[in-house]
Amino acid sequence: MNKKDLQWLRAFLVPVFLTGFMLLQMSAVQSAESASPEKALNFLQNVVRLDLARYNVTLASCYTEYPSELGGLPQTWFLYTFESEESKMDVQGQLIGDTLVWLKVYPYKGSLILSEPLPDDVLGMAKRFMQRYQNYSKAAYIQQMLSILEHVSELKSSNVTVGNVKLIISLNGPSTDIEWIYTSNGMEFPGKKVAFAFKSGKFISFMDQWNIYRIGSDDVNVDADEAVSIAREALKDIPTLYMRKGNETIAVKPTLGGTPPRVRLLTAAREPLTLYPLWYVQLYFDQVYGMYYAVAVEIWADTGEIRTIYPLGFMGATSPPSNTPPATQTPPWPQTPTETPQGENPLEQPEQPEENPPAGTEPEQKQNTNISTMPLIAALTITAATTITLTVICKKTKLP
Amino acid sequence: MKHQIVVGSLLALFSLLGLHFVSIEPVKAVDRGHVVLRATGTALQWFEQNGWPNEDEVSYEVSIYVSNLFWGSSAYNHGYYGNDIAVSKSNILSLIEEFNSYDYATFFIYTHGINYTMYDVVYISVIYRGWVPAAYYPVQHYQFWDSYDQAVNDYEIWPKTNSSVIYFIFIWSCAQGKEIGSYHASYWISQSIYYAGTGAAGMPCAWTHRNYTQMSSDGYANPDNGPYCFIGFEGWSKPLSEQITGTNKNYGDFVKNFYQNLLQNGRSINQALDQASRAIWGYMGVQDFDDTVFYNGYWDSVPGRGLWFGKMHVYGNGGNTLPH
Repeated sequence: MNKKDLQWLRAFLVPVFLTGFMLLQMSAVQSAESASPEKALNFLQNVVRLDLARYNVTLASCYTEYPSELGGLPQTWFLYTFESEESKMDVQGQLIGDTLVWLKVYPYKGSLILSEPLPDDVLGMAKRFMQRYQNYSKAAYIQQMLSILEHVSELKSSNVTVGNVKLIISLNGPSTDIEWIYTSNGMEFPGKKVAFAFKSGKFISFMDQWNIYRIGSDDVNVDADEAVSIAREALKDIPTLYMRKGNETIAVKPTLGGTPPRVRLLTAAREPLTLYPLWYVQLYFDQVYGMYYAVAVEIWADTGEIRTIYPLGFMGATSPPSNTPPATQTPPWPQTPTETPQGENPLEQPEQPEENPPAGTEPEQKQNTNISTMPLIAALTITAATTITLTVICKKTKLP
Repeated sequence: MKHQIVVGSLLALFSLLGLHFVSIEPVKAVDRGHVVLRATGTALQWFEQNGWPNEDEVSYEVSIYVSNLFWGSSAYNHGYYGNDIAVSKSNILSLIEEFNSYDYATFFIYTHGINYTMYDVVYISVIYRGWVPAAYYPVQHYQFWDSYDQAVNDYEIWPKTNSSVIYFIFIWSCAQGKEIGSYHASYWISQSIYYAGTGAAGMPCAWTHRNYTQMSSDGYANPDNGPYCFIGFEGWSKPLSEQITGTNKNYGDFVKNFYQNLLQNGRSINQALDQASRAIWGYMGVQDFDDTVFYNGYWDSVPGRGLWFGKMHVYGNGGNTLPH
């Protein structure tokens, strides 16, 4: 191959490689963008039985990201708008991989237009949704959840556990949550769950993370006391806290106090999408140091290994700044509506009834909800008192 | 001759075009502004060993991130980012006044703050003694601090926000969202009795000129139809650097996610709160914002201070969408 042939080959291959590279890039972008938010439409059509034909449906936003906690799985967030003459709403949701894990309806006008009527009661609605979801997803775990729900005859806050599934029904004002949570060894794993939520008797949201999260372990080999001991040992040497004082920076060494620790058994992901039992141990300082008052130590309950340590604080303050106004406002002398009042300057400072308390410790103060009536009551009382006083003074000084 | 005809025609054409341009009404540009303030003052502390979080660094990173999101949006043609020593009380009050002169403005403020008690006073005119205070009514007021620990009080903000166009305010600080509040006016009850009010009491009221009867007290669950939304904390707020239990994220990540959804993805305030909640607490089965500790509140026993309560409040209309 001579030099000329090589030049020709280079001239041909370089554009081919560049074009190929660009196409690869484009397909990567497209695959990220084309994660299927239509799954949400299928769900709404087949489970909620939304009459899509009667809406003008627009995919307002859709994007995919790859968060580390999902171990490389794509996470797609989407927002649909639904508009018709009678009804208007947004639907926001999330896919992990190709699974619709969350969907929420934001109604703005009218009710959902359905292709098939639903039962009037929330319990009946939930049962119907689960039947349809079972047909739609064909997942075996839905059948088990449905059979637990079928045994519920009255809608009230309650819970029942069958095997590894705990059904929790929560009624809170207009909201009803119906959730099936994975439970094992007496522990709940709320990340692994299926849920429907209703507000004022209408469907609001859906979630299914059952097949997204795995259970890494349900062994609790470290008890609560041991967890506290591990936490105390880890906090033998608390890092130095640096604080500003004017232009100076001062170092403080916080120490733990005698307040009993706060201990909770939780679950968290040790590897992506795999849940393990976790002790949360909160140990308190002996006093507030700047904006910090405690330290949290998280310990894996199966191995006793420390997951993380972090301080707990607040964005308030230990004392108000120097220019906090006096407890009583000094109002500007009012413009006289009719005539200037005579006498001494009335704006003398009354005694400060109490010190300004720090944030969070403020006792409940009387709210000023009746502020418009208070002056009238005060006015009547004061007028009566003044009249009596003046009468007494007049009598004593024998003024006419 | 031909030359003259051409010139004449061109002149006529230009005159017509000129008239046409004259007849076009000038289009007024919409002025929208954003302000991000980070006032650390002397009340900010940080740990610097063993990988413990550093509030100074995290709050700086979060406020820069939020500010950059605004700068990246073509919807805003005015902006201000104030950090640390650049944030003085006079600067804050001037910014409020300046940005309230636009068509739309929004503020994000990271700082320290408290609530405290002042008193409305009833003065009476007493013969021989003149005006004397006769009755006191406690009123909760609110203040946050600049970088020099100077307090910015609710009643000082009110005069700067007349006919407020500051439609979305998010103050990450203690206490600023405890209540919507109301305006406590000063007025004559009679010629001899004067009611001296303490002015605007409550940050939402001070920023929006809407009182507790005019804004939804739960703009997340029951948004009103108004143009305003205020997010703030009742009681104590959390440091942005504080790690969220069971995750490798902190509360700063919540703020970043929230603003990203507002400004890049066009979500409403409530939708952005929901998505941020899912992104942070999804592993715990949290469905939306009302499943979070922010919405439901949190208690803790603070050494020497007793039991403290904290909660994030959304007032007004969380259904609003920010220009993006």
